[in-house]
Amino acid sequence: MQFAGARDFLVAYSRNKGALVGLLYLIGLLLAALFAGYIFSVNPNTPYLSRTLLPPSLAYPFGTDYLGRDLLELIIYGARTSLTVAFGAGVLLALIGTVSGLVAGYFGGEVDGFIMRTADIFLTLPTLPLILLVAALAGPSLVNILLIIALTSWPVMARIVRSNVLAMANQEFILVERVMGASVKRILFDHLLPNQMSLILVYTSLSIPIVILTEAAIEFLGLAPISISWGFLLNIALSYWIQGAWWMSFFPGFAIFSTSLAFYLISEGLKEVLTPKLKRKRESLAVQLAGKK
Amino acid sequence: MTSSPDVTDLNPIRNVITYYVAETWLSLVGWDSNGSFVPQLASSWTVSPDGSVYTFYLRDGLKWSDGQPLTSQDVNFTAYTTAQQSSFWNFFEYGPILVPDSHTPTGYTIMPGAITTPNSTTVIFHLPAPSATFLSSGGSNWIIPEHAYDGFNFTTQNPDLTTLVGSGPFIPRSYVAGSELDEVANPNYYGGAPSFSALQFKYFQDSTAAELALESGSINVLESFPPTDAQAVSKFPGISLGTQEDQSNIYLIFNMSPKLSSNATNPVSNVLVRKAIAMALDLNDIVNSSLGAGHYVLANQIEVPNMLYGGQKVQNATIPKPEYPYNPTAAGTLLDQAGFTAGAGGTRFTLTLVAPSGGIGNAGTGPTVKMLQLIQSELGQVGITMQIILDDTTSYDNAVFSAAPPKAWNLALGIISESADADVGPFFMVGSLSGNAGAGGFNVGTYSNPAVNQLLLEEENTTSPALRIPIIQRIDGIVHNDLPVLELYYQVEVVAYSSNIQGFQWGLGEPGYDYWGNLKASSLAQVSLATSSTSSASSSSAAPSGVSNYESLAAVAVVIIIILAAAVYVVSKRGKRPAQSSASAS
Amino acid sequence: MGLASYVVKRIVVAIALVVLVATINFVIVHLTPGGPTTVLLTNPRITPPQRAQILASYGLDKPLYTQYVLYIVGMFSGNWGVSYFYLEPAYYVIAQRVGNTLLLMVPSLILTIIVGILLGIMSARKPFSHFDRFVSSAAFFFYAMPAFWLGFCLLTVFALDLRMLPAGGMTSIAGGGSITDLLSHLALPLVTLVLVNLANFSLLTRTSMIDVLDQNYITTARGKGLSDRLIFYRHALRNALLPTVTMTGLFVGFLLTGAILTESVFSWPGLGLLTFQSILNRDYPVILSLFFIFSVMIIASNLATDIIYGFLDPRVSFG
Repeated sequence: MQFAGARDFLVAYSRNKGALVGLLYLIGLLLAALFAGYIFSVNPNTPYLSRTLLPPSLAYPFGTDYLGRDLLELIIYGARTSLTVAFGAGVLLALIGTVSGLVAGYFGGEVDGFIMRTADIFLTLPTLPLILLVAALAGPSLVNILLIIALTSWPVMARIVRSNVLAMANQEFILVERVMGASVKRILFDHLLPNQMSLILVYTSLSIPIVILTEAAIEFLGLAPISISWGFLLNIALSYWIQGAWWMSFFPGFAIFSTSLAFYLISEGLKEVLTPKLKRKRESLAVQLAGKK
Repeated sequence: MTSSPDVTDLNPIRNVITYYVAETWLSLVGWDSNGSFVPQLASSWTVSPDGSVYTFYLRDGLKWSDGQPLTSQDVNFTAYTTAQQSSFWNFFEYGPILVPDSHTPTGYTIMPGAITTPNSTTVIFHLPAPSATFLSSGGSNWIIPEHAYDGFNFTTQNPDLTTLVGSGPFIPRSYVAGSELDEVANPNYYGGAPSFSALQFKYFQDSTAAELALESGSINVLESFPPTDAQAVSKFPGISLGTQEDQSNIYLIFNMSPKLSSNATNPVSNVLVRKAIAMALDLNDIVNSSLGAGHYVLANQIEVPNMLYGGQKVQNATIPKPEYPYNPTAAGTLLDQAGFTAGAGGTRFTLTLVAPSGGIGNAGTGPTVKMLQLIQSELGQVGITMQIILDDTTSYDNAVFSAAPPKAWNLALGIISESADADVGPFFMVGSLSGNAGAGGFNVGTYSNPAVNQLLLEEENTTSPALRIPIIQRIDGIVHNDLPVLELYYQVEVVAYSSNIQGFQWGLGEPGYDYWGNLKASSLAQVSLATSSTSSASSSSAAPSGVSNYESLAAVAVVIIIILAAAVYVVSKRGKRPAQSSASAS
Repeated sequence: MGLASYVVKRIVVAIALVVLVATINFVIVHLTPGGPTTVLLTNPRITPPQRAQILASYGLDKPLYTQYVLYIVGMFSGNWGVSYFYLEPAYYVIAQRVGNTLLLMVPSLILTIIVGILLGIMSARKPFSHFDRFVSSAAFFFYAMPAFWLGFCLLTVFALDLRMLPAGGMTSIAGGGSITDLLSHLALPLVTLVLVNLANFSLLTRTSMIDVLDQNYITTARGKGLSDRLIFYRHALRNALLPTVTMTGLFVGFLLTGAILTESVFSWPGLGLLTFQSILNRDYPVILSLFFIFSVMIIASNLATDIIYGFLDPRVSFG
């Protein structure tokens, strides 16, 4: 679907109120995370033992944690970790998924079979247990986590891209290019790929909520390095739960939830705007399936 | 030593101490909460004047749980089995009387003639040299029945639970791996049949779940939960609290090797750096804010303050408390002296600290992390950047204990429990004899000081408590100057129990050594206890022995079918409504 | 080709897939640092004769290829080795907990499907009505929610604040194995699992239903004069169920993931918790057995849904 320009796109996109809210939230969070050093103190790690475990108040909207740190500040800083993993894993899985989908769909035959069988295997692996096992063996590190999540999420993207490529590969303009002797690379990247972009955008943003939730789960279970990340805060919050410090577990969890909801809303908005209605109907099943892992 | 986090191992000979084994099989002598010896299977014992002959007199009429008599033959059998099958415990328990033997799995057996059994209630150990510590090693080993386990291979199997034969007040009967151990009363227990018929140990990995279970009456006794929760728990109705100064020390271990396994220079191998670190930390403040004021008392030596040996206090009163008072400026000076000046940005060097992710001892994850982060922050103020690594139990054990020196870390957070013999703690932490400073040893920082080793040997061979204590105090003096470890605090154990239980009696150190046989509960036919070792955020509980799973599944299915039927009925009713419904459909 | 040969072919492929996945698991476990031998022999005081004995009893003294073959054969024949941590057969350790997980998973699967379909149908009958909008928003809401956070919030409200329901575990001694006791423990984890997965089902059913309602044959049926309700339930439902059936297959994998997190928060002694614990303990025989079970479950349910799908959809032909 073509747009006269960015403005046109935004107008169409904003028709979905939910998607608009999601986008605004995400932009707000990004900016806050980037400029956290200016809005809050530079080092969020400084303990203030005189004000530990204070419930939410005007001074500390989210309360303070066990070290007396402002929970709101911690959550904004924690957004850095989550957004980095979210975008990093998202980009990575988009890359792997797109390339494999393109190659599988265009070349067909043996190559296609091989790639799709590999994707099938990845789909039938129990993802969370496998992630936990590799995290435990490889040691806690954010890079490992990013890699593992991306590696277990790419098959769905590959499938979507592939089926789209299959549909397009026989269209006239591709056949013409072939006859004219255009190189494979050119066909793949100059012709096929641009037409996938909408699809790729939609499904990447659809996969990101799962990435965020999985990353939080790994941190919650204690298999990630100590950091100011939302999942780790939840892990520590357990120790203070019985003393009544509900805000320590509520707000980090709420942050995880709202960020993943924002991405989900954005993906719905993109889907409405970027994919034509007819295609959407045929792919409605695929859309639903793609988002669930 | 990290405590075993689970009911893993009902195997009396394998290398891990478990809480529950201690209550199943008894030993010749037991320990009370001050570290004094009390009679258990042996009603009395004598030690020859030169300390080389230990004679134990068993009580009359001792029986195993299956009715068979418990005799000196069983003690003999236990010694041989341990020597031949337990590569971990054989030296610790029977070191003085071990001799090599290539035919046994461990390569060792008992020296012929070292154990004699003149009659069925007398056992005599003839040690080749005087030993002051045999009561707490060989005398404290759990005795297993020969008639049940002769020929059993303990290295590769566990004894069968349903037919387990023991001597303690409760005998395990069924076990759900990782969550629950059910025990039944042993009517043949020498102290008399216990006042209730069953004991159930539930293991919770999450202390909070355990605390709520106590409150709701799911369990009756909870031991080993974070003292920081004690205040909340004490508010539960019908619950009483007891505290006990644990004989466990928490300390920072310094890696003494000049280089780490990664070949990086190790700044803490320099004694000035260690002293600087000690002075950079306001330990009182740190410990009290993380663990709660009044619950933890600052330790300052290797022995815990109330440790008694032969009725006398062991701690060296001449060593100041705290060892190195809080003085960041002086710390900075020492660091400069050591050659570590602050670079751009104020950092002198980076250190790595390894700690267990479930928290150290009974502190729990939260308080432990808080303590470490406070230490991190105060070290940061003198220019030391400390990185905290929280490892799960396996990785922690590997990195701290099993790895061969040089280790991979600069600092480790550790815990060591005392035993009835005053030299065990010091030996474990700072002695480097018998491979204790190598891979798998307890002296994980690999501190090695010949003077200390010499004193330890001397102390082992001295039998009179009055003469042993000064030797230990001299060790403390040397260690105080070398600072291979920095004492942080010693633990306070808390137990919470329903008020209709009386007779709870503490044992020494680990909760499992407490004495369950004396519990009396006025209105309970069985008692459920829980111990929570706070690993990372997950929990575990028990499977029912009453209703089977499939009956429950059937019951739940019935409920769901009812819901389904109701739903179908509701939906079908809606469809019956007249023209309005189709008009409102868009 | 008919149905029978299709089924056979799919079963063969499924078995091959199981073997492949098991192989991957084996490779991961044995070829990463910290593998089985390291775990078993961490105590350096173990003497050489004992070392040999321990390795032999676990079959680790054989060459890797032999171990692999024994492992594959063993997985299919139920001989799952001995747990390093509990020194009991891995099969026994798992069997003790399987019932507990099924107790949690099966009801939540059933409830999710039923309530999800019902909600989807009811939304589709009046698309874009208030009801529909409400349900769809709620679906979004719960889809994005982390299961462990939801569980935690429910625990806080019902167990800590209101003290209405127990805070975890499966039974209490006081309850003594009664049904009510079990149900009260089951309530919160069940609700958590169902809420989190409900979103998929209701949204999916709704979308499929709306698609189907537009199609020609429905208009024709209407023209024939069949009652509104009859059309709806008989024709539409049957066709809209097809994607739901497919979803159920994928769902098993989903539930397994949810099981680990939910069981953690609620201290439910099932396979999910066992997975987590055995990973922490590096108890490889149990880990490998659990992964085997999980992949078999996922592959088998995919297989079942493929076959059922073929049955239900008259448009599919085999060949």
